[in-house]
Amino acid sequence: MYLPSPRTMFRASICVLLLQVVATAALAQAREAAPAPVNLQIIVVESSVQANRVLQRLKNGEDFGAVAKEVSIDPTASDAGYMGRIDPSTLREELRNALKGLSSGQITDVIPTHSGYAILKILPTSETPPVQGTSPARLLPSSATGAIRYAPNVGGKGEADLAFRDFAKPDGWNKNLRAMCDIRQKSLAAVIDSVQKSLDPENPDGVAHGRPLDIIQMHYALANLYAYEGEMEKSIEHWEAAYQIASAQLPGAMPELEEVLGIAYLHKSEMENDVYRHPGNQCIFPPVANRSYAKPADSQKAIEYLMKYLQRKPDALDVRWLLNLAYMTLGKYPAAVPSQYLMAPSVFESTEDVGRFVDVAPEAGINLYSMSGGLVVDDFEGNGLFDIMTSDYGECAPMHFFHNNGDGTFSDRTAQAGLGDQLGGLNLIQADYNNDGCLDVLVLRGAWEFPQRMSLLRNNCNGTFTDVTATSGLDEPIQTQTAVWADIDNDGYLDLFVGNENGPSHLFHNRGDGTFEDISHAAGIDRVGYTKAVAAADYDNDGYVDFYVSNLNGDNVLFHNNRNKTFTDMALQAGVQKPWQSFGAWFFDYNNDGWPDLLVTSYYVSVDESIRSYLGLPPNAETMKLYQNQGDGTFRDVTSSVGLDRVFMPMGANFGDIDNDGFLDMYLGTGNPSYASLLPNVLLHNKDGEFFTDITASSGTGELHKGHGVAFADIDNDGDEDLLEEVGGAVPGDSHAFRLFENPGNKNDWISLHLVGVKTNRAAIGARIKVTVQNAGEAPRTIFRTVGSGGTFGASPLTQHIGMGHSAHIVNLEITWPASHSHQTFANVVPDQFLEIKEFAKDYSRLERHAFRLGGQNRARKPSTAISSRLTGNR
Amino acid sequence: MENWIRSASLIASLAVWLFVASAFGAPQKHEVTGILLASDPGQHTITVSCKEIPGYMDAMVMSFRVKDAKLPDGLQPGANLAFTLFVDQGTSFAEGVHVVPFESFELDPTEAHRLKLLENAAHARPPSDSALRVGAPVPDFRLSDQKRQMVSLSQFHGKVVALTFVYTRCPLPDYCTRLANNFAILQRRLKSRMGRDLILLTIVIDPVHDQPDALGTYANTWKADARYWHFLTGQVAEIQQVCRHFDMAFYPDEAVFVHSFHTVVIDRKQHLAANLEGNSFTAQQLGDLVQSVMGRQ
Repeated sequence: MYLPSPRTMFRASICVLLLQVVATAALAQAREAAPAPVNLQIIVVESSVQANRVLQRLKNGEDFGAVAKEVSIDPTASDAGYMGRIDPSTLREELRNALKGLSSGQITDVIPTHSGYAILKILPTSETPPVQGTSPARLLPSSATGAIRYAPNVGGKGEADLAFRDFAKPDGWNKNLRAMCDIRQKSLAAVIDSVQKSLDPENPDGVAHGRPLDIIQMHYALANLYAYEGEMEKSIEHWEAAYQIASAQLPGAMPELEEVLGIAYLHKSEMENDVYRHPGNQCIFPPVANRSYAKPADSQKAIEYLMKYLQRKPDALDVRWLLNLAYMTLGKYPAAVPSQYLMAPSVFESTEDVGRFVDVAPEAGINLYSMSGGLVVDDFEGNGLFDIMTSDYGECAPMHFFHNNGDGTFSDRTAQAGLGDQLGGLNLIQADYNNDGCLDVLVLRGAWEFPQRMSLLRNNCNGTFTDVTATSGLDEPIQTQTAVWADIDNDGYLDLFVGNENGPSHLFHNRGDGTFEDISHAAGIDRVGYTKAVAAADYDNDGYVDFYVSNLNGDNVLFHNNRNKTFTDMALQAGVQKPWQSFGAWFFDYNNDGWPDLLVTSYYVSVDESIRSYLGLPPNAETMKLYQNQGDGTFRDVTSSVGLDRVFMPMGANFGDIDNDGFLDMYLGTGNPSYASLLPNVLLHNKDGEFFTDITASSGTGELHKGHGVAFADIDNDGDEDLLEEVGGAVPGDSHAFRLFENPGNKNDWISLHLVGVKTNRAAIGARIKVTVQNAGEAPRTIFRTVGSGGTFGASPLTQHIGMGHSAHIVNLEITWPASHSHQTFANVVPDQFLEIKEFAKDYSRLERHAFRLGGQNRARKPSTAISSRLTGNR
Repeated sequence: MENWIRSASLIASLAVWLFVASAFGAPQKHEVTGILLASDPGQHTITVSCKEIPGYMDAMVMSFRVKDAKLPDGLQPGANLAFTLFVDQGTSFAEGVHVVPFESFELDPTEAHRLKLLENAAHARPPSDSALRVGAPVPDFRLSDQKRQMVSLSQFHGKVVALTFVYTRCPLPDYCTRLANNFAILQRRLKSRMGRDLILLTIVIDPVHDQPDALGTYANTWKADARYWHFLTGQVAEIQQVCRHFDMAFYPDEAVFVHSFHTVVIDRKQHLAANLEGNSFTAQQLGDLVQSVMGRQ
């Protein structure tokens, strides 16, 4: 165990003290800003003349509700204008500003707003007219979410998917992976051909003789289809053609095309400069050094078009941001960015530093260039080394299996593992469904598109996998990207809950003989939603696992397990229905109080909203939510008090403890299919279970491209969790290299626990760990973990790596096994080692693990960033 | 009926007011936009539900004498018109009457338009060939409403039907919400005529998610009276069939839909009376149009 010198201790404690001051100040600020909901009534009319007449009537003492019923055009009119109890920060900016300084019973002046001219009244809390109908549409015209600026669609996902849907298909196509690949390739070629024909002036039925807008849009469609494939040269040719026509005949169409051309040229510049295949530091934001792309011409064109747009619409924050990035590619950020559009590096600065992470994927031999996809990091070969398994959203791209060689390098053994014909799939999740001691994998397909078959891949315990989807009863096509393994009835076999985007969710009960039974309807779990995440935890600690379902554009659901294979939705009572537009979700005990808390990310495809968050402007979109478990079946929304009241556009995301302090941090992979969505992925450090600090900049993990499968794993057995991410977008032209960010290390203690169930499922999913730790000079504290793969998009090892802080002494280690309800307690366990604990066993066993240097011999033995940051880090 | 009378009296009083105003002032010229309710080529007049002319007049229905030699071709009720209004010495007339086609540069309508063109190109068919023209009989359809009752268009023969398209998860206030809200305003304004003379149909384009429970909640938002305002769902293919009649396009795009906007008025004989594209008309204009169709013999 490492014992710090008094000098290090002193320095560390000053740092900690400083950090505490910063965090406390931020905390106080956040608490102060927490808004109180007010009772509101609204009248909206079409003209200012009318509005002033209404205002006069109200001032003369007429009843607000009666006037609302008579004249208002707002959806609330039939409810006498009553909006309900509203947090003013969720209203459109002009409305919330008008409420400032107003007290109960008062009315605003006339407020020009998007839907007309509004007058608001604050009602006393006692006056609450009954309102029926909770559809969000009722408040949409006055809601801030109605003011969101969305990103334009550059990249052709919509066009290519339309072609796919329209293409003639053989029966059973969506159970046949090769057929789906064929349809994708043929439909794309066919649609490109028909658009070219339509644009041909020789074709009398073509669009070439139509309205200017039609011709512009057809060029746009063709440009997008080329962009889909990454053929940016041809793509830009057609956007330029569209722009020419707009300039000459339809000036109204010019601004959109200027924005799109700016984005397209920036994408082309990145491709021409090989940034997607060999990214290095070139797409890490903020940049470490001013370095220009070797070929700057396309970036200069991007700047030209983005500037044209900004001259028309200088307030477009997303376009300003892209302008900053374009200058970055020339090595001229921030110096050359026009001052009125500059987003200074200070905006993105971290207030904490746990050291800088460095991507070592190329040196480690993980040469994966892929679209978005799933990621599992775990020991598939039972040799004590974590392997890497990935899937690719592209219908024609196979999964990959990277065998860990144990020397810092990996070998691609996809073909040997029998995974070469496993095409497509946006997400993966591992489990030992047949309790044979070897981890199996489920491939989830069809997300955002159309129902497709899943793949259940049984691990043959010899380095190969067999597709057992059909024989296990899981081959009905589902449109999904999310599933969770959990033993709902504690029978020792893992059941499977699959979220569906296009129909009812599915709960499959594991019969224990390698087959599954769909019990969704009987279990009361077959709700229809656009489900983007399903997560499992025993949130009320009653010994039975519960589920959370995150829906995009819909209320979320908390299914409480009734202990008889049925479930009851408790989301409203528990207070966890929001965000309305949500994506990833997971349970984790962020404050180590023994009660699983709940994190739910919001998802708005708006670069503008993320930039607003960075600039400290109030968001229009919903922020993510952190719900703190109160231990009584309810949760408290602590989002703003922990500093998470921000908007990030996260897709893949996961949690882990990057600095071994015992508190779970998180990494958010950001973006959407459009090439416009270039935003840093985000690393958030959990400060003592009280506050989350953005350490993206200081950690060097601000990859600008699309983040999907995210895993935290100590892949080099050196006692800290590295960060792995499958980077890449939803179209082939947005493919990207994989990232393996090596953890620079820290001086904190840790323990790694590999749990083996006997009565409980063998992979021990759902087993609870409680570590009581005493850090030198401090009172004992507890750290709680539940065995699982973490977040809902990307899977960490089931082996639990637990950080314990500085100079840690393990007072107690307790395991609770869900199927047997049995407990084990171990005292005086030595930290910083790898242990295996078997259910019912009297003692644990120590596992031999050897640390190795990632990249092995491929990495130069010079003083690396990793080592130097260890000296300057805060611990 | 009382509203129609009120509109008519407004026209009359406006004429007097214009006369008075112009008798004392210099000749005036105003740019006017509005939705065409009716045209009479013989008399060379048009009746228009005008938008407000700031500083001059509130939004209202007015009839105009047209000075142009010829009314524009294909002038149909529901068309969005623009023209110049001249007022001088107690007379007034419209000049330069032309139809302004719906042309939006906003993200969603633009994308829907693009995908529609792409779809047409892929099937090598000319644009909008399947859409009904004004005056054409509207084929019957049968869909299920928020009360799980089957509803056919043909059962409303003899009444005017207004019809639009939404999906309940739509996150944009200017689109589905605005179109549905137009009907809510219509329902309040024409309360006494609902059911007797007027039926409202709102067809959902996301039938997978918009099943009767979701429709019920959504209908409640607008205080829809289920006897007269039906929110309709069915199989995707059935809905696509109805959409084609009215040039309505919709495409799944990630979790939402990219779609065009159409609000349709069907007359008592179940012929297409008007098909308004877009979202830029007001609820008042739509109400004027519906009333005008109800007032036809």
